[in-house]
Amino acid sequence: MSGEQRETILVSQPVVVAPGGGRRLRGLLVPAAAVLGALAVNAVLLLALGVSPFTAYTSMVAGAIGSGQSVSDTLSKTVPIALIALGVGLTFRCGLWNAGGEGQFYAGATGAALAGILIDAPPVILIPLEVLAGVAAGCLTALVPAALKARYNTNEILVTLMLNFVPHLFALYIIQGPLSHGYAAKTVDIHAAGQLPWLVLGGLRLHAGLLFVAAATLGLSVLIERTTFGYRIRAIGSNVFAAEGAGIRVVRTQFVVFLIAGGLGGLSGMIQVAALHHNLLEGMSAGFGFTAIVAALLGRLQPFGVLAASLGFAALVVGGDSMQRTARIENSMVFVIEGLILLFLLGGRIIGRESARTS
Amino acid sequence: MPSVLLEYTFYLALLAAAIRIAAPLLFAALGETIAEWAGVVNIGLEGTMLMGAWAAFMGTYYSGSGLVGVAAGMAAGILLTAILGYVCISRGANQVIAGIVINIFAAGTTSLIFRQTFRLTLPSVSSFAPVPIPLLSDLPVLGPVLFRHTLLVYAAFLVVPVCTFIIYRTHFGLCLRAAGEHPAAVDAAGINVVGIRYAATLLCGALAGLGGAALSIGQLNQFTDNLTAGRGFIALAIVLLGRWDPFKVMLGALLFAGADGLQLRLQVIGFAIPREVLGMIPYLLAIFAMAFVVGRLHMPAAMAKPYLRES
Repeated sequence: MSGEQRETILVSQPVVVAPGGGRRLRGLLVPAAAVLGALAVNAVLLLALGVSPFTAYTSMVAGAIGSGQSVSDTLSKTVPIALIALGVGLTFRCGLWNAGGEGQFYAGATGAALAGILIDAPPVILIPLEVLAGVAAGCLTALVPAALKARYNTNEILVTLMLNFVPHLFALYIIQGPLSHGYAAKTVDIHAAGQLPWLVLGGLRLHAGLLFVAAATLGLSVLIERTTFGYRIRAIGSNVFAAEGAGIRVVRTQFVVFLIAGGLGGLSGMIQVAALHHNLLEGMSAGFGFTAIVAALLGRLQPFGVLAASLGFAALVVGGDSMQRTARIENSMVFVIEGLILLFLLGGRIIGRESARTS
Repeated sequence: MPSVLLEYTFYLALLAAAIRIAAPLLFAALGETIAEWAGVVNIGLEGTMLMGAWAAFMGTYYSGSGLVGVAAGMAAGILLTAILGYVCISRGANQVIAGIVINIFAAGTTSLIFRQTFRLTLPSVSSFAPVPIPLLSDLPVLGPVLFRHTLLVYAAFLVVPVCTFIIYRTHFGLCLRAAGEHPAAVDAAGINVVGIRYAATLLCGALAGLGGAALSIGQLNQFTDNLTAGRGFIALAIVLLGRWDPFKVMLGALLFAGADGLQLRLQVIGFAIPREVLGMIPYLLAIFAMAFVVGRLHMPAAMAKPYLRES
């Protein structure tokens, strides 16, 4: 190995996702088994805490899909998780460790809230401005690790992990500052013109953010599978040295991918502000950035797989919140289940398997 | 500028605080140093500290003894890194993903059990009072800064020379460094690479758990959700900054602890900068240090790579 390669902290090329072609059934059964295993281990933990797993799981299922309202909630919660997870999946595809979804989300939410509060304009102008502000803020947050990685080969995983705290603190500053709502830990509302409309479909009341998710999933799928840029991403992901040897500009490609992920993270924050809360709210992310990483991995980094996994985790999060209200079981259980699912997948060498041994 | 900033006692208190705040970071960073020498990167350091902090609190709360708490913290750290070790060393999983998973799992488990047990109450313990060292603590200037700390703080700084000795002067240390540099050669020499890596990872878990204990029962006397708030990530940055040398790691820990102590004090005295912005300082400092100070590293060649014999 040359000295240049040695200087990256995580230079190895992980096969983040085991090759799936021709083994589609196994590709579905194994994650399902991991989910069941995680639920079983979590049940043991609940029993040890004197909580009935049956009560926990039934109240969760009822809360997640039991009524039209809960299905609407689950679909709404899919939006932030899926948008961040799509970006995270894309970065993982080209060997970048982006764990900064939480920060990009708060940056986007803050940017969009500032635009929606400070600017008064008709919807056709204000909503695009909010999108722009949210995406730009998310990109800006991702620009730091992307530029440091490109210029100094700085370890992006640590930079993104630490940058999660900075936009969050900035959002808290805005919430406490002159735009504060007063008593509640949130800002004043954005202008009505800047609020995304609700879509009523049958018994479901959904917000327009779902359209962004559909567009992002399709767009990324086409980008990865049908464009030269997507080919470069896949080439870097399968072997960075071969890609470099084939003349692909790895640093530039990774830089752009990082910004795309940041933009998606920012967009997710913007949508939560414009469609759901209508203000910047303390604790508006229930760990979306971390749930998104789990969803990206469980969805095997394929846009449609990521979307499906995000839907599942949105149900878990919504069910967990409902369980906390109705059964008084703490919703941190959601993270226990998420952690266990991935531990099973890692231990079973389904994801995150390293390709070659070192010698 | 508040006049308190012009008094030298402010800076003496700040130095003492830096040493106190450095202890949890130092334990965790030294543990990570050992693991990384053996080629294992524990991104789950944050979760390991959190788990240690939680277990130490629970142990102290139910037993009334700080020593039981410390033992519980170390045990919890070891258990968690045993999971990491199994997944990464035995199963060859990617260490970054495994570390992130460990963090999520630890955040969920500690919060679930703690909140389920105590609900909305915020219990506290008091276990580690400062132990002034006789004579030395009466020295002018140096006494209050260096010699009026808790046992856990003294212990953290004593681990520095111990780590240096282990890494550079023992057979185990040699195996450790070789396992991180060229595992196949270690294997060919008849030494158990997997065993060495497990030992290093579990040592990291014990020290990170101890770091968590130094935070929860050694400093704050309580536990809350996500108590560590990124200290494990900062400890990872400190290891890079200190280039895997325990003494330099100690200097790095002191630098971050000093920055943290300063921003906390500026918040208290009502400095003109908003407290949320002051709170960003440790994280921004870590990013700045990694980008511009760390520079070109020569790291163990087999860092973060699994060694799987059969494949």
